[in-house]
Amino acid sequence: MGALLSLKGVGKSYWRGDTEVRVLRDVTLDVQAGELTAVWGTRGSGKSTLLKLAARLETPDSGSVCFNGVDLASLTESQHARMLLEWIAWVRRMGPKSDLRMLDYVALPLLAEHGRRDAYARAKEAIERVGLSAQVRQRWGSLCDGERALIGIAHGIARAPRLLLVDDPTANLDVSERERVTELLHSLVDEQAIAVLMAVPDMPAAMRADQIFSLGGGRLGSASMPPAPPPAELERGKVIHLRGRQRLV
Amino acid sequence: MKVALCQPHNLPRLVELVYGQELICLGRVQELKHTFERMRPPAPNRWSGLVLVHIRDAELSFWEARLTWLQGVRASLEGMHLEYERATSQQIQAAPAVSRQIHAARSRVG
Repeated sequence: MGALLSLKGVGKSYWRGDTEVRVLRDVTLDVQAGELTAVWGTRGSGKSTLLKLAARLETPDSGSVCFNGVDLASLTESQHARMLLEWIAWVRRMGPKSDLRMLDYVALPLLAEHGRRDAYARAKEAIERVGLSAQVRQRWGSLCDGERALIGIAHGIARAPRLLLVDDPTANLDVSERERVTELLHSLVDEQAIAVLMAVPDMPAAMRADQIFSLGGGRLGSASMPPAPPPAELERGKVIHLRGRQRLV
Repeated sequence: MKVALCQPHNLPRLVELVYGQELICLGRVQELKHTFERMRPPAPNRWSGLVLVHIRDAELSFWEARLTWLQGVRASLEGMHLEYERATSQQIQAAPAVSRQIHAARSRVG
């Protein structure tokens, strides 16, 4: 079975003044349906850029991003918008700007596509799925960080997407809240066979993932990737000859 | 030691060594994940479950810190390598033709 999301040789750079910052270099990543994939990296390592590229919210400088076998670069704007509406959901850390009830907030993106009754039924179901039935009438300001993270996920899954992109879902959460959120993502993947690509800045949040990658210095590393064999002369503190001189390395 | 005594032209190889170490750390993280999955309690919010999570997190923080450090070292080495390449190319452009030939011959030998 082919990967649902496939990044091949993706490169992305930004300019910071005169300096080119290569955020992603030759990144290759496959995300399968029914799989939770975590990308760990420190702040500024390019995790969010990777997620944006996966949804074509940014375009890569090199390489290709395919969703369900379709190269995202080949989509027209309307096809892309359709894809974001139906198949790919972005779990936001920010809540609604206005003082909406949580039920309204989750139902809002569904109203255009489904009728009012159906939209609210789906929103309620999504909120129940994340275990916050008691909070449907509450407003964003009255929720704790853990509940906000869960509402963000409910907002994402309400449209029944095939791919969920989650940026730092466990920020500011304590240990039990973090475990609750990661457990929920894991069970969603199992039950609904969706794919989740999650960016996390702390390793414990990645522990429930099926695949764990690290991102740093533009390179995406996986434990399943064998490291390149170290050059023999640098391997174990050998004396090597460099242009007639000896160096201990 | 390898970092301290290496020469500029060793940098690409050293970068690969550091990256290899990063992957090894990531492998340890995977091992930890599998170990704790096997002993994972059904309810992580209960005391016994939470204690295990704390133990796992303590182990993880070690590898996470090491990974972060290695990534920093690699970024620094790559920066130094770029700097070296830039400086070398400037030298070559500024040098007279004979020196350029010598440099090219040395590069072929080295």
